[in-house]
Order: sequence, then structure tokens, then C-alpha cells
Amino acid sequence: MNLQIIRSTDHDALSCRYSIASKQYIKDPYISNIVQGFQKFLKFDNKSPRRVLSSLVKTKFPVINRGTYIRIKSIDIIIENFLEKFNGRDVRIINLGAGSDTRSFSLAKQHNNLDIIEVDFPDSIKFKKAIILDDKELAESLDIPFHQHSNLDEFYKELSNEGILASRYQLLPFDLRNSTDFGEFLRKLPEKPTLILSECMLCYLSSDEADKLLLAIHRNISQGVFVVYDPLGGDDSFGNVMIDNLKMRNLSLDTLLKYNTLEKYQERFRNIGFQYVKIDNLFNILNNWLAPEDLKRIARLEFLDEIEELKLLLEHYCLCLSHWGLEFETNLIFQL
Amino acid sequence: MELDPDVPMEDAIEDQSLEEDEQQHLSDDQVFYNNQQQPSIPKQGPLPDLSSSNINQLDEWIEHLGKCQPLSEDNVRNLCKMAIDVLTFEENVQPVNVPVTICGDVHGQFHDLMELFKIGGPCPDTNYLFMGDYVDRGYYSVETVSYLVCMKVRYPNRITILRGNHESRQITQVYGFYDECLRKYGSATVWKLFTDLFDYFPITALVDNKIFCLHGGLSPMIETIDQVRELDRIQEVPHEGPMCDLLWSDPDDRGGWGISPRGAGFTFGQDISEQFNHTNGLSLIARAHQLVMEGYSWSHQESVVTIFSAPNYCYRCGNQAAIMEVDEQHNRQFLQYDPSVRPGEPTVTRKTPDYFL
Amino acid sequence: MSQENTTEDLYPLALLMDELKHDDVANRVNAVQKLDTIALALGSERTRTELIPFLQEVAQDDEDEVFAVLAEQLGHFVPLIGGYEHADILIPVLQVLAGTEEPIVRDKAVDSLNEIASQLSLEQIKSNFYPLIEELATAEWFSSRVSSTGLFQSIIVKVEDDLRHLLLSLYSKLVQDDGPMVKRAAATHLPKIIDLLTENPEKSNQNDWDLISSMFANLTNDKQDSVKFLSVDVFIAILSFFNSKNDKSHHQDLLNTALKLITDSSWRVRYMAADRFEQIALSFKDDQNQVNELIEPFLLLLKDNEGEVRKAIAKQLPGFCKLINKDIILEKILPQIEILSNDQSEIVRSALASQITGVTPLLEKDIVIEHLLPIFLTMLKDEYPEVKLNIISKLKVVNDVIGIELLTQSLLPAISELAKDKQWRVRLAIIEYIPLLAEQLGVSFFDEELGDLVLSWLWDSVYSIREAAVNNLEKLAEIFGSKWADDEIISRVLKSDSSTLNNFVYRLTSLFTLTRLVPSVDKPIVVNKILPFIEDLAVDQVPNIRFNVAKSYTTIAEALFHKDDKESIEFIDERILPIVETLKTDKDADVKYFASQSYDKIVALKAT
Repeated sequence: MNLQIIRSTDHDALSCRYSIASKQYIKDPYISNIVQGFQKFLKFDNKSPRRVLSSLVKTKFPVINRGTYIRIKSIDIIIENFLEKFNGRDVRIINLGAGSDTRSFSLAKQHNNLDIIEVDFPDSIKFKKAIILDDKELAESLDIPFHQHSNLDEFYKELSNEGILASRYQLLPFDLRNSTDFGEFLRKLPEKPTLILSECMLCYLSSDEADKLLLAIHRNISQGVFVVYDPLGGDDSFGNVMIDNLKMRNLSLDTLLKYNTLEKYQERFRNIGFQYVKIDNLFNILNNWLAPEDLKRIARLEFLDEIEELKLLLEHYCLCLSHWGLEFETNLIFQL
Repeated sequence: MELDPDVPMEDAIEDQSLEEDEQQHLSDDQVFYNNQQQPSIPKQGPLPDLSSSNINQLDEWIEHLGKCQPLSEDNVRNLCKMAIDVLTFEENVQPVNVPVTICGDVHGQFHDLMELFKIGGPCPDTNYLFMGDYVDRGYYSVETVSYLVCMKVRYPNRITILRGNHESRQITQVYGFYDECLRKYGSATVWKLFTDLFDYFPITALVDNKIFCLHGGLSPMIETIDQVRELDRIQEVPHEGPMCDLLWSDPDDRGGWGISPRGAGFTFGQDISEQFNHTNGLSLIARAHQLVMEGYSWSHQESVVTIFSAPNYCYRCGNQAAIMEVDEQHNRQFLQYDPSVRPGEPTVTRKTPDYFL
Repeated sequence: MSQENTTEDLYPLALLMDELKHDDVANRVNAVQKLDTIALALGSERTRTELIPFLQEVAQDDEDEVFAVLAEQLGHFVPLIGGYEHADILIPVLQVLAGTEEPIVRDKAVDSLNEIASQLSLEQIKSNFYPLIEELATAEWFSSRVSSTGLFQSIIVKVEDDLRHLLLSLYSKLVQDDGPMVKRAAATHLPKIIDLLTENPEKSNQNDWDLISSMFANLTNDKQDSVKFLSVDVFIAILSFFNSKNDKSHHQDLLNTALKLITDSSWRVRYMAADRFEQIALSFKDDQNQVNELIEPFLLLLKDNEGEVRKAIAKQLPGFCKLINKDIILEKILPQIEILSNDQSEIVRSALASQITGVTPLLEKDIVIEHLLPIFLTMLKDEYPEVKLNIISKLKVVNDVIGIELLTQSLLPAISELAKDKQWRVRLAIIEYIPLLAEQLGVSFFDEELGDLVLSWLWDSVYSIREAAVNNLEKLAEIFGSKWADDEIISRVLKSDSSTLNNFVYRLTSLFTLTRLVPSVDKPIVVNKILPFIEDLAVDQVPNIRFNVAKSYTTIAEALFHKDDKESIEFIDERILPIVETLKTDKDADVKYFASQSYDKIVALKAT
């Protein structure tokens, strides 16, 4: 699949995040910095900056906002659990296909025992690097020295492709479709509890590429917690419709129907060698994980007519949690 | 039991500047209808016959709309004026005769509406009762609602169009009809004309005194059908109260009344439905409002049926659609159907529905 | 901008600039659609000096919808800028558009550039168009390189030897590009370039062909099957070049290459070879030995592991069989066809079903009966509706060889099954095929076997099927005549018992059916059978029936009326008009309306 097309899904993710931040579902102090960065630098990275920028700030339907909230919130809950569990110890988070995700800025600022590694395509890394280095708040949240840039064209042109290698934050270029180098990189990392996050990333790999990546993660990290958020084809027509629709954007999801149920998705991980694998769909997670007051709070933010559609959509996304080489029990409810 | 008063339906209004915009647009507009200027009391007596020039005009519009081409703004204005003249004669509980074919949400899926007529037969040969939600979500709300309103004016005795919760000023600003009007007409005038017209739509229908049809469901403030007749329906759908409930409520597996997760209306259990049907001598409540994967779905031991007529809803849900034929002996037959084969649209303008990517 | 310009002169451009600032993309698209009008208003000079530079800016940053229209518009711009001598100035804008990511925009830009190239002088090609191709072909962005591959064809046979060789060298680099998208685009356009050289034999030399054959070699050896499979079309283009020169010296080599492609390890390549098999085989048709060398590979493809390949080769059956000996068809091909007719994949069976009948005219009747007929019969019983439909729709060919009698026993079960298919569009397809079948079967057979079926469709739950059933009966009545229509349709419809007539849909469909038969049956049947039924329905409880009765009366009056026949006029006055007049005063508005329509038409008819 074309790299630009996979990268365009990051614009979707960012615009969803932006939409729920502006609707007050979440507090994201850094999202406006990222959007400003897009406005400055997108012309260097994308052939249709105007189109992308206008779509970034378009309001989303309530059903999409609600679904984005539970996606972000469920992952945040696991990250919180992880940080609490290893409170005071040195830990690490690796975000695969991080794109323009803003989690790192808040996390790095709040937890000084935490190392963050973000991984994405080289072009995505260069683009995010430009945004971070050019923004005082973003850079300082990650303990990166900030310098004013007068000429953006020159600044972007002269930016190296290496990513960022700061003391607590690394932004690294890897094409995860071929995980050989990445596996090697993981193998050399100092040993410490590591949470690996794959948020809508595995689904863009071919079955084979995904298996190799999963294997590389399982083999090369000795103490791991692995959180995967992915679409799930389902054994109804939803997955087929999704595949047809995304074809219009030239996006193909090779594994969507192969691992189309929670059982099959779980089995996929077990077959790779992961032993402890918990999984549920996002609709159950919405109902089981959120505090009643939070449910009530979001119900008041905007009203939602699309109750059945929300259920249908969320039943076709899953969150899969696995860990190995360390103790990581939570009281989070999973169906499987 | 009370409605959660904190649910801010007002938030549904996105565009703060809209009010001013509209004032400008409409200040020099002579034919503009608005519920303050119009008497809001339904008219009694037989509906006057259409003039032959009106019939020719309507037939022309129907043919034009049948090709999924929107009417001009002036024609929409005339159509809405004619439609108000027809709809003021309708009752809050509009009586409907059998045989009739009862349909649920359409939501701007124009080509699927045409498929519906292929399955159920063309109007006026077949009598139709649509239970609301013509606009929003699909790409062709303008064409869909224009077509159905044209049919209503042309054949007022053959087709009944009830009001759904999306036939409202607030909801259409969130869910697409407002934007579509702006896109297709360059101003919000057509949106204003239609949403003003929606106030006149009847809110329920009674098929041969046996089947009570409405968009949403029951209301804790309504025990008898006569109480529906007493409502003042010609207004924007309120945020609460009986008229709101009729357009927003859902049947539920739990008994009694419950808070609706939608933030408007209630959920009602089997005990409520059975009591209502018993009190009013009904055999069935037919309603729409909820996506059901097979196109129709029974609840409350066949005292309530949900009918949904938008296949592959939002071009994303993969559901079937259905309609319910009721014959003169009150036999019911459900007809299910799939999305129509869509004509080739230019791929550049066709937007992919949103997913979490 | 010069001082003399009044505000009025500026108006069109200012208006355009204004509209292009609009937030809504639809407005911007509309604005760009009117570009030619604006250019006309500005005149050619100002179009060149003001509009085009402005469009250059627009082409840098807008949405694809706008770009697509802009790219298309510029293709017609040569007259608007003052003729071809100024055409160069259009190139930079289109060059930008040719570099966008969206394929639709790129394709339109390439089309427009080719359109412009066709109007350029050789000098302009050298000084402007060749540099454009070179720039695009060596650009950093893959999208520009992809676009460049579509431009060579517009100048390749116009330029002189040196430049042509430069172009081909450049193309050869694109064929080996790092990006698979570029390689694929280059491979896709290469056959067109070769065809142009074939059509203009004086426009190529040995050096050029050496380059082309090395490009072909590169493609056939490409590691990615999505590139490699495109070499099949290049291969066919090369073959036809040699055939056009009557040069057979390379044919054995080329045949060997073909055999390699056909047995390639990648199924995509085999698929492509299978899909073009007839074309490939035709290129060798002058040497039967070479054609025969293709028989074994053909059989291999029929047995391929991949369903898509079997589907593609099944479609080549009639075409290839025409080129080989009958005995070989019988000995080698037919056994494979039989296996294929039971293929596990329905798309394969469906493809076979659509083509297999084409083999019948190639064989003698007794062989068809012995070997092919059983296969047809198996396929007519296939569980997948499309397989049955494909066979049924081509049965005329078989009928011509073996006659209808042999077919009928197995045809009918298949038709009855399709008639009940749960997808209404399948039922529709079979109904629409019935009149054709009726002509082939003849009336006696038809009644016995299909009489019940054609009536049963009238009571389908889907309206469109009932409508098709009525159309079908109308056509059958035209084929079989009045008596048949009376015996087999009218009498049977009228025999319906009163309980079925309780059903509104049943009454309405009966009314539609009988009305539609009126023009095809004798007058006594209309008067004695159809009219009484309709008169009963004139007082039906349901208004929908009454207004359709009103409509029916027009049809009946038209059928019975004869202007010289006084009796017919009296009949209309006595039996028809009074009822229509009553309906005109019906309490239902629609009945009144359709009754007056009908009344006016009948009165007008009488006045003729």
C-alpha cells in the first residue's frame, strides 16, 4: 500500500482527537500546538495542504466523537495502570505508528521516570520533529532545548532525517512493514518494563508483515505490556462494507476479515507466542470501564442520536492487552 | 420520573451567526412562512382539489426529482407553500386507511428510496405511510424530502408523511441537512423553508383504528390517543414533553419508563406498550427511529414493531431495510431489501464515511 | 497591471479570484468550470499575461475537485490564449497538476498536455515539451514520474531519430524506477508506444528496438508480480510489430517467452497470460506447429491452482478452440471443460457458462450431444444462479446445433429454480428471458411446462417482479396470439376464487394484466370477459383500484373504437362512458382526477 495513503490516516486520527478536545471530552493542552505546526509545515510534507488542513478542523458527528473518546480513554486507562503499577521505577512506552499523537507531551511532563519512544515512517518523523523543535511548549515538555527559527523553509529543508534522540524522548524513523531493523533496535534497548502501544497500526500491515512485527516485539522485549487497538471485521456485513468504503481511499485492510472476531484476534496473538492475552470490543469497554460520573459527563457534552450506530461501530473495534516477563494484573473487565 | 434537565440540546446549534444570516436573507422575502405569522390551528373539512396547473407543475417536479435533481430555490418555495396548505388539513393523529405500506427512516438515501418503490410499487398505485426521518446523514436529503413532499401535495390521500426527530431545525444543523442545503443552494434559505414546513407534518397516524404509527414511541404524559389530538403540534420539536417523546422514545426490554440514552424521550417497557394498546383498542404500535439490522424487528411480544427503510445506513452499517405491507384484512407482510445498485458517481466528490483510523 | 485598466476590465478576473476564495469547494469548482468564459471576456493577451499566472497559483493549493476541473479546462485553452504559438505557457500549470497525488487530477492533466502536444510545432516540442517530459520523469515525487509515462506517446513518432532515442532511454529508466507505481505506469503505457512505432514503421530503427527489448526483459524479470504481469501486454505489442513487418525470425524465441509467462510462478502473471491467451495465440496463427505448442500450456491454465486464472482462461475457450484441430478439442480440451464445469469456485463456473456455448458451432452435432450437452445440463443445475443464467442466455447457439427438444427437460428445472431465487433481480433476469425462450420452444411445449410459472410471477411479493410478469404476459400474448392469451391467461386469471380477490394487490395485478392484454386479444374477449371484470372493480372499496379502472377504460375504448363502426361508438357510449362519468364524481380526489383524464381522452377519441 502507498505510504502517503497510510500516512493520511494519521490526519483522520488527529482531526478526531481535535474534535473531541474542542467538544471538551478530553483536555489536551498540546493539540492546538500540533495543529498550528500542521499549518506551518504541512506544505513541505503534503501535496494538498489546504485540503488536509480544512479537514483537520471539521466538526465530527457525535457518534465519531463518542467513539474517539472511548478509544483514547481506554488506552489512557491502561497507561495509567501501567505507570501506577511501576510507580517510581524506570519504565518505557513505545508508541508504534505514533503519527501526530499528543500523549507523549503530557506523559513526559508528568512522569520523570518514563522514557518515551515514538516510531513511524521517516517522513512522518521528520514532519513531527519539525513541529516539536519549532514549538517552545512542545519541545520543553520533552526536555528538548528550543531555538527560534526565522526561516521555516530553510529550517525544514535542513532538518536531518534522524528523528529526535533526547534524553527521555526518542522519535525514530522505522517502516514497520519490514520489522527486521526494528527488532534489532528493540533487542539492544536496556531492559525495563515497557508498554508498547499499537493504535490502529497493525491493520495497515499485511498478515505476514504483522506476524513478523508481533514476533519481533515478543522476542526482543523481555518485560512487556502490549496494547493493541484495531478494527475488527465482524461476522456480519460491516467488515465488507468497510473494505469497500476504504477502497475509495486506496486503503486496504488485509487482515480485517482474517481476524474478524474477538476469538480469532486473540488466537492470532496466542499463535505468535503471547500467552496472557485479554481482549474485548470497545462497546463493552465503554460500558464497563468508564466511571458512571464520566459516562454522565460525556452524555451532557453533546447529545447523541446515533445510539445503535455507535454500538455497531464500537463492536467492530477491539482492544487487546497482553503482557509477559512482568506482573501486570488490572481489575479491568475483558470479555475474553 | 423526570427528564434529565441538564442535557443541553441547545448545544446542537453549531453556527452562532446563523440567526443574523437568516434575518438578512429573509428580510425581503415576502412568501416566507413562520409559525408566528401563520395561524397554528389545523384546518377542518375536506381538502380543496388541486388546480390542473398545479397538477402539471407537480408532475413536472416529480419527474425532475425522480432523476435525483434538486428543484430550484423558487420552486422549493412554491412547493413548501402548497405543502403547508395541504398539511394544515391533517390531524395530529392522521387517520389512514388500509391497504397501506408502512416505511421507516430514509435519511437522504435517495437511490434506496427509489428501490423502496421498486419493491413496494409506485405511488399512487400503492398507498404509503412514512414514519419520518427523511433528511440528514445520506447525501441526498434535499432530493429525498423534496420528492416525498411533492408526492404528498400531488397525492395527499395516497401518501402520509409523519414527522421524525430529524425533521427539526436543531438536529438538521448537526446531522447534515443544513450543510447539504448550503452546498446545493449556496444559502440556508431552502433549509429554512423546509424546516418551517416540518412544523406542519402530522406527528402520528392511526391505520384503520388498529395500528398506531409514529416515529419514536410512547410518552409517560400520554395515555390515550385523544391526548395526542389535543397537542399543539405546529412548532419546533420541543426538548421535552409529550410531543418530544413521541418522536424520540424507544421500546426497551426493561419494564416501565426509563431514561433514554439519547438524551431526549424515554424508554418504555412491554407493560407500557400493552397497557397503551389495551386502553386504545390497538393491535400494534408501528414505529421507526432505530437502526435494526434486518430492516424490521418485533418487540414486546409483537405489540411493537420497528421498521427501518435505509439499507446500509450511512453507507457504513451493512444493514438490510424493510417495509411493512398491511392489507385490507390487516394481514402484514414484511419486504426486505438491500442497497440499490448505485449509479457511477465521480469518485473525487464521493467522501468515504468516517471510521476510526 | 497597467494604468489604463478600468475597474470594468478587471471585473472578470477579480470575480474569479473572489469566488476562488470561497470556503465551499463546490463554489470554487463552479468558478473554475467557467474559466473559458472568463478567458473569452479577458481576451487572449490578458488571458496569457494575467489569468494563466494566476492559475499557476491556484494549481499550487486547492482541493482535488478544483484541480480536476482546472486540469480538464486547460486542455481546451489553446484557442483562448491566441493559438498554438502561445501554447507553451499552458505547460507549467499543467506540470504542477501532473504532480498531484490524486490520480484523477493527474490523468486529466496528462490528457490535457497530450491534447496541447498534438497542436505544437516540432520546434516547440523540442524546446518545451521534451524538457517537460524530462523534468517530470526525473522529478523527486513519484506522482510526477507516473504522469510523465503518459506523455511520451503524444510525441514519440513526431520527433527525429536523436530525440526519439533520448525519449526511449528516458523511458527505459522509468521502467526500472525505484517506485513500483512508476514502473507499473511505465509498463502500462509501453504497449501504446510500441503500437505507435508499429503503425509508423519508418519512425524506428534497430537501436530503438534494442532498447525496447531490454525494457521488456526488465519487466519480465521484475521481482514484483504487480509489475511483471504488465509485461504480457508489452509482449503482445512486440509480437504484432514483428507480424506487421512479416518478420518471423524471432517467433520461436517469442514463443518461448510466452511459454515462460504462461507458466510463471506468480498467479497474476499467469492470469494476465490467460486473459490474453487468444490474442497471443492469434499472433502465431501462421504456423500451426507454433499454435500447437500452446495447447499444453492452455491445458495447464485450465488446471491452474488459482481460481482467477481458471476464470480468465475459461473465457478464452471458443477463441482458442477455433485455432486448433477438432480432434484435439475432443481429446484434450473437452475432458478439461467437464472438470471445470464442476469447479469449486462459482466465478470459474460462471465464466465457463458464459463462454462454453461458443464451442458448439465448432463441433459436429453428435459430438455436441454426446460430450457438451451433459455439461450444459450439469451447469443448468448449478447451485449458483449466475451460472444457470449465463447458460440460459446463450442457449440459442446450442439450439441452432442440436434443436430445442434435447434441451428442454433439463432447462425447465433450472428455470423453475431461478424463478424462485431469493434475490429479486435474479428472478427479474429470468422473466425477461422468457419471451425469447417462448419463441424458441413454441406454444404447445410452452403451455405444458411453463404456463403455470409465468402466471405465478404475477403474485410475487416484489412489485418489480409483478410488473415484469405483466410485461412478459403481454409479450407472450403478442407471440402466441389471442386464443392462447384467452385460454392460458385471461381465463385463468378470471378463475381466481373470491378469497384471493380479497387481496388488494391481487385485484390490482389482475386489473393490470387484463388491461395490458386488451390490445392483443380479439374484441369479443375484451367485451365478454375483460370488461365485466373491470366493471366489478369500478365499485371497489379501495380508491387505488377505482382510479386504475378509470385508466383502463381509456385502453379498452381505444381497442374497441373504430370510427366507421357505429356500433363501437354506441357501445362506448352505453357501456363505458357512463361508468367513467360516475367515477368522475367519486369522493376520492385521485379517482376523480384519473376518471376525468380518461373521460377527456375517450371523448377526444370519438371526435377523431
